[in-house]
Amino acid sequence: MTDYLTESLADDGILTVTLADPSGPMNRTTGQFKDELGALLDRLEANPVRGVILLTDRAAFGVGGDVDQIAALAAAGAEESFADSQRLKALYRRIETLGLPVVALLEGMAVGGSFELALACHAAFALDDDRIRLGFPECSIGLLPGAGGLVRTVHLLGCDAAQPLIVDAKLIAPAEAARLGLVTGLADSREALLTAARDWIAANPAPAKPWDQKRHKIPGGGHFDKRGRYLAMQGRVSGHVKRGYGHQMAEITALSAICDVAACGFADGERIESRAFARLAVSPEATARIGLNLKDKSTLKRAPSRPQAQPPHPMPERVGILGAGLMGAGIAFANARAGYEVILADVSAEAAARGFAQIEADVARALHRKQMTDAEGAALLARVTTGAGIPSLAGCDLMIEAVFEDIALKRSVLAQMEALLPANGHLASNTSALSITGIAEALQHPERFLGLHFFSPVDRMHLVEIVVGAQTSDAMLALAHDYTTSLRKQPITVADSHGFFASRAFQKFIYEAAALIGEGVPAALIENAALQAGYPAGPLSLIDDTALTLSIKVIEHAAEAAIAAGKPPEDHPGERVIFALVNDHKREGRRAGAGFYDYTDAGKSPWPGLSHLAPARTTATLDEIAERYLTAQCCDVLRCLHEGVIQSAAEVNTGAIKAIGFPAWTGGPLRLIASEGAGAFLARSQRLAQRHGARFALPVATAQDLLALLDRAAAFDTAPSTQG
Amino acid sequence: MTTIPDAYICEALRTPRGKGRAGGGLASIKPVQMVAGLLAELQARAGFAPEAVDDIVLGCVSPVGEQGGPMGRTAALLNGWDMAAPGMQVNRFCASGLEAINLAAQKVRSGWENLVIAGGVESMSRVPMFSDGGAWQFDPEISTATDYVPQGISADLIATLGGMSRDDLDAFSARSHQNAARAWANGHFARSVVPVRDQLGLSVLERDENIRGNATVESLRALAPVFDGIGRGGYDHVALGRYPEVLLIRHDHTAGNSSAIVDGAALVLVASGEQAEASGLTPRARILGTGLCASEPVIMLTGPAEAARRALNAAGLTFDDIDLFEVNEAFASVPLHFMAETGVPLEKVNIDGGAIAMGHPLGATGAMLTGTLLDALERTGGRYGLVTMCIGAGMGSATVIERV
Repeated sequence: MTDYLTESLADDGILTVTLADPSGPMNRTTGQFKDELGALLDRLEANPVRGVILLTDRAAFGVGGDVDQIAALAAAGAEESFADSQRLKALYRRIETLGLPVVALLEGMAVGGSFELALACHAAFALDDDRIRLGFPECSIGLLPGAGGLVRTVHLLGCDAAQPLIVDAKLIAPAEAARLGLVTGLADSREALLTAARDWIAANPAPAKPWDQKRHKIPGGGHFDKRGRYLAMQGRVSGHVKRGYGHQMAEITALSAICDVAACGFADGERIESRAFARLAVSPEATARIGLNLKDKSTLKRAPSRPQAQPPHPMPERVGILGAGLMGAGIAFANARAGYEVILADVSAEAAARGFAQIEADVARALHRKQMTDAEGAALLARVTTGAGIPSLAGCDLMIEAVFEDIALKRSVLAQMEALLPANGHLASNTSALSITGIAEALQHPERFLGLHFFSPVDRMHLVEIVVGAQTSDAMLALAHDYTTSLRKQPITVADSHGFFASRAFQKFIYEAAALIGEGVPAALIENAALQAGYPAGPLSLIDDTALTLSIKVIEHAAEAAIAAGKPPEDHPGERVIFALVNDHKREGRRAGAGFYDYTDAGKSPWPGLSHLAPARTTATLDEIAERYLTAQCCDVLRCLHEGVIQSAAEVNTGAIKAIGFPAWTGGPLRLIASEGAGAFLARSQRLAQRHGARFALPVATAQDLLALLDRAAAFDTAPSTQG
Repeated sequence: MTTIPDAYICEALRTPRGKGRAGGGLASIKPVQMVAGLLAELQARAGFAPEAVDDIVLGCVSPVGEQGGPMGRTAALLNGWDMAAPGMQVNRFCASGLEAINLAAQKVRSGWENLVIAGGVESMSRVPMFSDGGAWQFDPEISTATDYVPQGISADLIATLGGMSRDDLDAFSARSHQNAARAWANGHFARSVVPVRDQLGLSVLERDENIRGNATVESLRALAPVFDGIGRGGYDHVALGRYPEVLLIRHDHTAGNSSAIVDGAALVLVASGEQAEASGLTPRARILGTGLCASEPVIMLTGPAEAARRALNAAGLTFDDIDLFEVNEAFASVPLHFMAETGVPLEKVNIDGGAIAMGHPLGATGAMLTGTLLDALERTGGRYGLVTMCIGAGMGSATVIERV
């Protein structure tokens, strides 16, 4: 086996240890690393040298622990995670207590366990390069630093300064780390770093850490030493509870550990840190957040649903957008922001000007939020020209249609747009519901056409559904992927069936809420159950906001689509409630001042007549209601997988969270199902189907088939080369 | 079989209440000094021998810094009662002063102690609220695990659930100021309020500082809500987890319809009948029952009704038997909720004003309310009175007394 640590003893008695993880391109604190470090410490304890310098020839000093190893230990129980955390701490503690100087050289990124290694050294010198990131990303994946990083940061910086680094997982540049005192000094080259390290070793022949010296005190004292500190902390804690919907506890566990560590000695603090680490390591939250923020992210970077055989195509020179409404203008803004020359056209110059005004408003908002500079804003606007009529789009090699959701209209304008395209041009339709294959019937080159379903508001929604029509070519799909990515939006690939993926899964959530109204459940419970479960907004408010009349259009369209496919329409009980509100009570939604809520100047309140929509008033617990929302959506997601509407597990999970507000703490619908177990989920869906209807029925009959369905989606992500 | 001795209140004194901030009337006075001054006055008026005092039980909600340790004993030492009068400190949050009296009554009724001075003290200007920290509120892990919300959120939740409007809260508060102002004008506090003197013997405060007799619903309406910011910041989400039938918590409590932050101290002399006779004390009231309960901690402040029920049960009485009530005005919604739940009419409640007008010197208030109730019973000729208080973390405490 190749060594992780390579030693080289110089004439001056200084041992240089070079880190190179044989298991991969990045240095991780693997089992092999721990073994070799232990052996090195054995030798140094027996035969001391003048000093030790730790460095690496790789770009990054190290990226910390291996999440799969952490998960494997956690699977064996919290005791194992605790013991492992304590073992690693004991190892790092031996560096501190060697009695000879150990210095780390940070010439690249050092995060997690690798940064903790640097903190365990007596000194660390870093390359003065603002691109380098140091710190603890653990909380962002539902963990906390478990190799002494939390304890050392608190002992070095105090409770207050430790919080942004640990709890907010704020990564910092070497200059900031030096200012805080987390690194000893900065230099501009390896030569200079080595000189600094050698000088430090010469000046500190037998260094001791502050906590190994008498009268050491944590800067600023303990959490409870300052009234202002713990009062200020309290509001922050409630904010974390609200943001994590009571399901994401890593930040609170870390805050608590910081306070706790500051209340006692170093070794006590190590035990506290290990306990907190172990609690998080075994939590479903860590599984979900590691999955979503680490694994899915890297999967999506590989773009599993992009035809892999397709080479990168040249990106469009000029993008033409027809329809300067909310969506068209939003898409134009996204394009101009990404650097594309854009023509935004509508039937009249006035309509196009209204669209341009919205782009100006989007720019103003971005400027206000300091997301761009004045110069960038001006350049963005300069890239947009407006036009009246379809012919004004001439010269664009990608045209996106964003007119009303009317298939005849879309066919007609797209045919006209196609006639203006150059031979190598491409065409897309922004639709949330209409059949791409159906629209394509009007086109000469349906292979160069697909759907791009942007979400509203476009500037804040970072997901796009790429809808593949029956004749869409692989080249077109690959281009759409690369183009969407160039807009800094996450593409997911969906088949051309009604509601695609996001809209239909979203509807299962809001229809379930409407169904609960029909059962006589109070509106407050229906809304609060969603908010407490981690949905970003109450479902009844969402229906009102988008208008009940729109819901009815969608329902009717779905029924037509079902009949056309030879299936009976769904007849969801929630649909009946929406129909009753609009048809019997003329309540059309927020804009009309009346929907599920009454809207007055004083605010909104549930319409008292809601109780008359049900035979009797009933009640349900928050858990029962949340179970119905989550399960209804999960069942539909499984149906989508089964029908091939979507294929990638990472795209399902990320898409559901980013596009339709599926609770983020779950890590996505498929992770929620997996964490419950296929058998248990199947039993749950059967129980709910029996009580509430077929919307909870699964397309599979056995847990084995359900597992196979989940495995297929996971396999799609790991074997991208089979695509296209 | 020996009978259980009765516990009598023989005297009840308090300081005036100074605004609990820098520049407040009592801000230059050490809390122990306030206690020592009252202790000396109590002894001078009642005439007991210090050696007869079995214990001094003092409530204090932030017993740290200069309020640390058993302040009753420190005050006794300061008064030269070296070999007389031990002391202890009790903390039951806002009902600490009432708890001290209840504990004194229980000590006397045990037959093992005979003369106990009970009361409380809080200098909120010098030792600000929350100076003692507390894991329930301030440890991130424990506050999260226990669904902690600040009391203002609970008070707003009570008002929202009870359908109390902002005007309802402000009207009750205006009444508190008007009642307190009238009580002062008519000399109702003349017997109980002892001016606070400094080390030179100069009087520094003689009247409650916070009362605004001209307060009206209109004037109070101008004040801004206090708890909407922290509510939206996260605490409303926590509270609605337990109260999902509420769509939105209305944040209607302001500085004007919540209790004022003040400094002050109060003492009550509790004795057995036998001891009262031996020490030449005149019993003014009998303590008939005490009540203590835990209540739902998120809404937190709804304990007074249940605590009152338990105290009445101990006393063998019903709400209808009680002539006058003192319900601590921590927030306007608390007494309004108490009345709604028990059916007790407004004219029997806090007839001489309450903590919204005069202030709530946390550890002292229970003893102050008891003294105010006793004075009012004597003045009105009423027989039975009840003090009840809401308490942080979801508790309630109550005491029933009978004028003798």
